[in-house]
This record gives sequence, C-alpha cells and structure tokens, in this order.
Amino acid sequence: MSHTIVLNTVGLSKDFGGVKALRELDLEVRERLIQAVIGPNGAGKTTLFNVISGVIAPTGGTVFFKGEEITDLPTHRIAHRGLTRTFQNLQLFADMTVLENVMVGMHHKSRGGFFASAIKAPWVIAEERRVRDESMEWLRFVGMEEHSATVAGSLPFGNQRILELARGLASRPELLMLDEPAAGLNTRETQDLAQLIIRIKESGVTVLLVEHDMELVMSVSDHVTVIDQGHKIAEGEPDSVRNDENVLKAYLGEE
Amino acid sequence: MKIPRIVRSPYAGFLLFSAVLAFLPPFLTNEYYLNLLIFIGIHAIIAIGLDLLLGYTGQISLGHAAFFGLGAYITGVLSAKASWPPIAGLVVALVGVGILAYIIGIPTLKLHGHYLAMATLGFGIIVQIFFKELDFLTGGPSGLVGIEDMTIFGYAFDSDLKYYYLVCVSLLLTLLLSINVVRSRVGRALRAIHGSEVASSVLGVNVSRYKVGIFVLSAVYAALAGWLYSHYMTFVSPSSFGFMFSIKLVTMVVIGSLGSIWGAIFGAALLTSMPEFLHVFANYETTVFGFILVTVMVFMPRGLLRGLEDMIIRVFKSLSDHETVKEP
Repeated sequence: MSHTIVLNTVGLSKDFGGVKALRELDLEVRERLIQAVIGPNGAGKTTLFNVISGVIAPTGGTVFFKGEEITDLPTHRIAHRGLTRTFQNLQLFADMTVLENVMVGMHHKSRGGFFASAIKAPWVIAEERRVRDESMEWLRFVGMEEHSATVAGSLPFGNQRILELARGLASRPELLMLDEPAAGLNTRETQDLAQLIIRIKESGVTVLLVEHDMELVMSVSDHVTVIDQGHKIAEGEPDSVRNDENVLKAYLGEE
Repeated sequence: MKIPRIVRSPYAGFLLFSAVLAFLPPFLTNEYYLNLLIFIGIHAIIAIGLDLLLGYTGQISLGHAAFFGLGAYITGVLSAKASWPPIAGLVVALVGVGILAYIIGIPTLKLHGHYLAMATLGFGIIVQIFFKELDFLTGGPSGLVGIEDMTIFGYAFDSDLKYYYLVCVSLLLTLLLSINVVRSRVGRALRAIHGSEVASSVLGVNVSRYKVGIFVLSAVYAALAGWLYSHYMTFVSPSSFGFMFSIKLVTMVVIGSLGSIWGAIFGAALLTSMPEFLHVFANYETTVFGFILVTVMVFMPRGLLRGLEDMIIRVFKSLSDHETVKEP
C-alpha cells in the first residue's frame, strides 16, 4: 500500500487509578484514508483520542505524528503540527456566531497578536478579511453558509455537530479525529455526514473516526481497528473485521 | 427592520461617545458633577479591563483594586519622595504593574473558578498589607501625602475641567484599544477560551498565554487609572484599594453587562454615581443601594445594558408585529 503512516502509537497505556483504560495499545493510521476505531462501551476509545490529542497525558508509551514524537507536547502545539479533533459531547463556543466559531479554527493559520490587533495594523485588517473569507468557504464546504450569523448555541443539534467539523477543517489539519460524529443524529443526517466524511478524505485529509453507528463505520471506513478493555483485538478491512471471532465475542459476550 | 451598517459599527458608538464627553462640561450645573465624572472615568478604565478578563475570557479577579493601588502608589511614591515627573511615574507604573501581573498571572491562571477567585483575593490582601506596612515609602495606614499635581511636559492640569479632559482622553484611548482587541483574532481566542478551553487548545490556541496576556492588559489599565487617581487626589491611602473596592469593580462589570465594553462603562457610571445620589436616604443608603442591585439582577440577569437592549428589541418587535398585522 502506498499510503504512509501518518500517526502511530507504541505501547500506549493510560491508568485512571486502578482502571486500565488503555493497555499497551499499538495503532497505525495511514494517510489519506478513513480509519475507524470501534469497540464496546468503556473500551477506551475516547481515552485514546484524549491521549493522542494531548488533552490528557498517557501513563506509558509514545505517540508519533508524521514520524516525530508528540507524546508530551501541549495540546495547542499538537494542533500546530496538523492534528485536530471534534468532541463526543459538543464543545462549541456557544455564545459566538457560526462564522466566528470557524474563524477560531483558523487561529494558528493567522498571526495578529495583542499589540497589532489593538492598534489595528493594516496587515491585521487584511488578515481578518482573509480569515473571514476562508472561513465562509469552509461553511460552504459543509453546506452551512446560510447560518453564518447565527449564534452557535441556538443551532439545531445536527448543525452543531457539522459546525464542529467545519471548525476543525478550518485549522487545515492533516489528521482530523472525529469522536462519535453521528451520536444524536437521525438517519438522514447520518447519511449526509457519511458523504461529508468521504469528501473530507477526498480533499486530502486523513480521518480517524470513533463511532458506534456500525452502518456509518462500515460504509465509509477503509480500515477498522477494534479495541476492547484497552487492548487491540482485531483490525483490517471492514468486511473481515465484521466476521472476526474476537470481535463477536467482545460485542456479544462469551458463549 | 434593518439597522444601517454605520450605526452597527462599534466606531459609530465610539464617535458619538467622544462627542458627548467633549461637549458635556458646559451643561453641568455644578462643579461637583465634574469631580464625579472624573471618578467615573477612572473607574470605567479599570472596569473595561476587568470586563476583558471576566466578561470576555471568563477569568475572575478579586484583586484588581491592588493593581489600581499599585499604579497609584508607584507614581505617588516617585513623585512625593523623588520628585519624578508624573509622566515618568506613568511609565514605571505601567511597566512595573505589567511585569508583576505577568509573574502573578502565570501560576494563578492555572487555577479555575473559586480557586482563582481565592488566589487573586489573597494577592489583593497582601498588596494592601504592603501599602500599610512599608511606612518609609508609603506613609503607612495614614496614607501618602505630597504627591505633585499633574503636569505633562510642562502643561499643568490645574483645574477640574482640564483634568476631566485628561481622563476622557485616557478613557477613550482605553476604549478604542479594547474595541479593536475584542473584534480581532485575539478577541475571538479569548471568547473561545470562555466557551471551551479544551476546544480552543485543540484548535491551536495557547490558552495559558492568552489568559496571562489579558490579565496583564487589564492590570495595566488599572495601573493607568491609578496614575490618574494619584495625581488628581495628590494623596493616597491603603483603605482606597482594599477588598471592598475589588468587589465593587466586579459588581460594575456584572451590573453593566458581562462581555460588553459599553456595559462596563455603564456599570462604572452607575456604581460610582449612585451612592452620591442616595445620600438623601441617609442611614438607609446602603440598604437602598443593595435593593437596587438585587432588583437589577433579578429582572435583568444579563446586566443593565443587555437588559435594556432586550427591552428595546421587544418594543421594536411588537411594533413591527402590529405593522405586519395591518397589511392584508
């Protein structure tokens, strides 16, 4: 396969007191593909996302992004390298408009600091215009341009999920991690989401997906990793994973 | 009803406000009102800074009276003890307070909620103790006398009217810089931090840097206000910079409307002037004052400015509803 590895974890572990949420987990994510991580509740999927994105520190193991270690980097530095994410329980900037939310996504693609902003330096004005225009482009990409002036907190739930995605895209990531993007969406919205995820891949962004909706996972993923109790128990193409003995055991319990 | 773009621009409000301030003095019937306006202006400068911190970024400070006091004492001591000109005192006050706020801010702003409130509260109390105990510099609990009148490059601000315009220029400058900051990449980052720290950081916002940055800026505003206060009063004492004043500053911002710069000015005006007008209630002054504050918060929980905005919008809506009903 010509797809090189963009993200990999080696022996990644995370303990919460006595609970081992991740145990020696090795994961490889290949560029320009959609990879899904699935597993029963409590398998450690969200913990995995939190550790990779730098929101929490692992107990052991390392995370490499584009061949460089990012394990101990602060979250915003990891974002600068080109890795961002969305959240299972939405983390929108609820009091800001839809457009402003996306513009925050472009934070590290722009430079205006306290001083230059306070005196409104000419280059800051030009930069603001660029950020605004590009952010509108991202809203158009996800089909939300008519909501640009709406306050994010007052959007319908489905639109809020999409907005979080647009905000992440605006930061021009190489790897976008989606934490249960279909949770709370109806069938129609989930289908639209699947189309959107595929378009994101086609634009050259690698997608790492945690999701419970199996139909979505099976329809968009190129590669699926199954974890249970912090272990990797299976991986491969969607069809082979679906019939894997270990996976069936993990989901349905032992005979 | 569509509001014209020019009216919605924040600079329209700024120009209107500047004009009102410039032409206000001849309409004042009493010299005393000028004195009151000077205090309102000084308080408004601190309130704007505190609103950037509290209203926009969501970080509380119960120690801002200390930065105000430090600004006042630094320039006061330099003037009274070393005969430095006020403009030199200003530079030392702004830079000194800025550096101190930076040093205090780095560990403090790692805290959240009540813990941040306690830490800033403690800082304020410690600074006030220094004002009281460093007798040889500050004059101790009885205060520092002998601060020179305000002169800037030889020009003496020797009347209340001249001082009023000096305060106005300082306030307008603070206001303009703040309007620009909140409507920029920095302002968005600050509001994003208020909304969700974790989401801000995964989008590349260096959360602690912005928190410390806005803390420093708000402290520097307070120091500017302290400088104006010091050379206006030509006397400072520790009791003006205590915990109660920090609380009053927070109240100005909350009553005015959190996250609105105009609200902060409004709150400063209200909380500075109201006690003066409530003197008629003599012994019941504080009770009436408290009653008014509680009433405002019950009926306008988003603060006075937003509360009034909401009311106006409601009135407009009901008017335009009537219009549409009439049309066939």
